Amino acid sequence: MIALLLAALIAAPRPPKGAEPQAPAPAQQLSDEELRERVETYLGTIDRPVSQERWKALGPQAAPILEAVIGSSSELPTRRAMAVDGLTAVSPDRAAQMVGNLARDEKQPTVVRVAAMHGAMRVYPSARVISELRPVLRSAKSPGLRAEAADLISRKQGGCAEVREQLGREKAEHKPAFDRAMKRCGG
Amino acid sequence: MKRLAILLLAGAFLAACSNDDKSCAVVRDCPSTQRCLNGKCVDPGGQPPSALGEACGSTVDCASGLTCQTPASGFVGGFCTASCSQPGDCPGSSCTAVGSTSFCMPACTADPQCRQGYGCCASLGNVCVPLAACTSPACTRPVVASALPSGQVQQFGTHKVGDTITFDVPPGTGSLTIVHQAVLATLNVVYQNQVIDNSAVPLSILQPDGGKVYDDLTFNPQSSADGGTDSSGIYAFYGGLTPSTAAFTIPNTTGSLDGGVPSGNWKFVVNDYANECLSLGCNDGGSAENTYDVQVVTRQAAGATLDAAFYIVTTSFSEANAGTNATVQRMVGAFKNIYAQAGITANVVFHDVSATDKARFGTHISATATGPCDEFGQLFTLSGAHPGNTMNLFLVDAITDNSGSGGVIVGIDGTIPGPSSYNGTVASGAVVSAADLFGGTCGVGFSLNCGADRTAYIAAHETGHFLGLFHTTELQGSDFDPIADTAKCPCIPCASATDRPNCLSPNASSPVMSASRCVSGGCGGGDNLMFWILDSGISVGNISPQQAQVMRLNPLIH
Repeated sequence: MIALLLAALIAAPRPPKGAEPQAPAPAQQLSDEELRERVETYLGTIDRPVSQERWKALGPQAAPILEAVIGSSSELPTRRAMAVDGLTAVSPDRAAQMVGNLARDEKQPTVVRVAAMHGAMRVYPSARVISELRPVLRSAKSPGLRAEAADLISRKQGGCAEVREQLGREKAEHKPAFDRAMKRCGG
Repeated sequence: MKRLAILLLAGAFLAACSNDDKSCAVVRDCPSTQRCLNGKCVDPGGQPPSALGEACGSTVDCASGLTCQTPASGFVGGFCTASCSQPGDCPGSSCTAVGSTSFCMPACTADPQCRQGYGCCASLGNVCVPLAACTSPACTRPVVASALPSGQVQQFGTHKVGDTITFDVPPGTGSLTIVHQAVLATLNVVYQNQVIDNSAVPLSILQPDGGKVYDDLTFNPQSSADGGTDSSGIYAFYGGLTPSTAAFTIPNTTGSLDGGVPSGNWKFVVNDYANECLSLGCNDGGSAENTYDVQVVTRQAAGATLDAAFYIVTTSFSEANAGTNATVQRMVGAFKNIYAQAGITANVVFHDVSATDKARFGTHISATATGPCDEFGQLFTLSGAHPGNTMNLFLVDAITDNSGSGGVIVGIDGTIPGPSSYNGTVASGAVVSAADLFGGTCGVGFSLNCGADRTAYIAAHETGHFLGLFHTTELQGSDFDPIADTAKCPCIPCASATDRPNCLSPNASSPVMSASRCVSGGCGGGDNLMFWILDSGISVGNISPQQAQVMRLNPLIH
């Protein structure tokens, strides 16, 4: 029933998908071992997104652990992407030093670049989001990545002009991927 | 008695007066069942006959060349129109997709030009359509046929919410599945100021002896951080989040595995959240007009074969080389091995999708925008290109939360359970990240540090959801699956000493149940395929006997 679903969305994560709205969390006092265990747990999520509030509750002491995961070439791409997510929450300043570069780096796995683009939305002011992601929008080899950049840039003031301009350059077969951004920009 | 008769007569007279005398300037001033003719609201059936878009009771009320689409089909108050296939079929009006059929619909510029129950839909090109039909032109919600033999499928056609359906369950039936597919149904409701997908779910289900085995208005299994609440005895369990296309399969709990599925005439009431809103009091979205195609699938004894179709929505490999690529074949092998322990033999095929679909869906699936018209729902409709009774697994490059709060995930299922045997709907499959497929360190044995094995594990986990399984233990250790023989890991006994005092906390500092805390005794399940996370040191994909039973009784397994 609806009431059950609402209760589930707000409090208990009964359904295995969907965001987990959270009350603001007090900083946690975890031992080093507990902190590592908690980070590992979050990096192992399957179909339940870990909210920014949950990451944030770990505190800035989680940043070095996450940076090590992000920077390791032996780590699996989805774990690195989740670590990017976490870093933007626990230490936005440190995340700001890397998400722009990660988003633009063609050598990075797609999932890491997507996470970095979303992270850029959280750690940069609007104008910088556009300047950091513009190269992805214009020249990423993957049309899906260009479309994802369009979706994010379209949420920022002045972004729609950039998106429309790029849409004009896209092949017809790739234009449907830009529908979400264009819908936000009024078609 | 005489006084009562006079009162009744007076009442009838007043009622008649109020109907006959209601004046109107535009059609929206009239009830949905009436026309606005010469400044008065009048019932259909008079002269001149109802024109395009006007109310009708049957086709004889409509002008020549038009037919009456009735309320039972989602057209409130009846609607004179003609079916069409191209713009030229509709002189002076617009050929518009309304649900899965196209009709001539009157043009408009604003809602007041449309009848009550209809809106001027900008996304469909400014035409008056039933409110439930106003979706993006790019959004399709196909109503499809089951791939199962006709003897297993009872079709009841289109029904409005609130209709009671009686269906037959033959002797020896192992499971039944009630399938709703939106014909014309609204997308959202707003309850307590939260926008919620309008899920379809039977309002109630009655067994042949009249016993009610499910009631959606009272269904509310409680959370229990100490593990004291056990939902396994419930006969039918519903997890929510089933918009537009919904399957409800029994058995999916220990209670119904033990109780069986008795033969005879069962009943259920067609329903969705919009209908429930009328009694619960939502902020918006209440409607008793939504319509669904309704079918019931039954099956006999448990099956043992699963046909899986992997759709390649990534550029990292193709259907042409999937059969010879060692990494892809390792993934296939690991997937098969996981299901073999449940007594299920998996057959696997691969399908390419177009470059357009790769661009649209490969990096664009959101973990939270999971409505039927979102990329999530639309991706699943690609399975319509390959009709059959298959588990459709869509391999993509990235799944993230596009609401702005981050949240990378590696898999997500359409609905629990999925609409097995109905390929092409907005819920016909699950999405799996292929980002790790070619990464990691792969040795001789199964390892979640090996990308191929990890991808197989995720695919198997999401397949478990599609087949009706819930997480054995959820993140906070207070919600559990309705299966008695899976080990649980409740927060209060199992969280660390530091965390335990926060077990009932609703905030983000509340404990999370890691796999390493759920490995033995009263704190178990970390090694189960359906535990909420994977852990390379603990997760081995175990499946309990009752979990296997639920899966093998799903119509997908043959």
